[in-house]
Amino acid sequence: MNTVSNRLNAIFGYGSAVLFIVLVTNGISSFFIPVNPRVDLKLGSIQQTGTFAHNDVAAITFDLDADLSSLFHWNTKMLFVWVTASYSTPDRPINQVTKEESIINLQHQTREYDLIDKGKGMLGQQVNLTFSWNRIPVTGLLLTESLGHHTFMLNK
Amino acid sequence: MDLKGQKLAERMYQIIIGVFAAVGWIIGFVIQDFFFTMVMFVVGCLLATILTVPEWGYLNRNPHKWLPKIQDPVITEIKK
Repeated sequence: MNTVSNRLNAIFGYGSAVLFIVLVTNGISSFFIPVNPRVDLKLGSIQQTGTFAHNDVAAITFDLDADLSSLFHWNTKMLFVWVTASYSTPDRPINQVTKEESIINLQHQTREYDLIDKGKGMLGQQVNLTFSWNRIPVTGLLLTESLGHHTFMLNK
Repeated sequence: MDLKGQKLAERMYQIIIGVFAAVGWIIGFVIQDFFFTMVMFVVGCLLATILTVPEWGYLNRNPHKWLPKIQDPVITEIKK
């Protein structure tokens, strides 16, 4: 502590330790902040189904009404949300297609996709729509959570 | 900087950074804004640096008391 560089070094080391504690307690605190996201996901309409180049294809729309504002607390940088359609065919028991995805920050960027099966067998199956999100934190764990399930039949 | 000044400087930066970080954490949690916590932490670090790193006069109020100078007896013995 008797030279300028020695004192700068001591302040830097102590400050780093304090910063570490601040960040860790911030990450832990996000488990105790109550969140109540509300998601209402329904099938809108099945616009077109068919077989294109030996693959089953379906163009569907869905109605989504969600209130995710409680997920934005002091440890949230942005949200990544997406809707998946999952179904099982005789060939492959688990299929998941991302129907739409979006990054919710100050501005939205949204992408949409059609349901395209790898081969035949999707048409005539039951399809589950699921709404999922990642809350991208300032510090701490990045967890995937999902809510709002909806099931419908995809006719041939 | 004297010894008591060094002790005071060390205690000062610990308290300043710790208090600013703790208060910033609590207020940031209440208003749910982590950027505020970071601003408070940085302000505390800068304040501690300004107050304790340069050799301010208040850190030099107890100067060392050295023993009186001793005469050199060695040179006369060699001349013999």
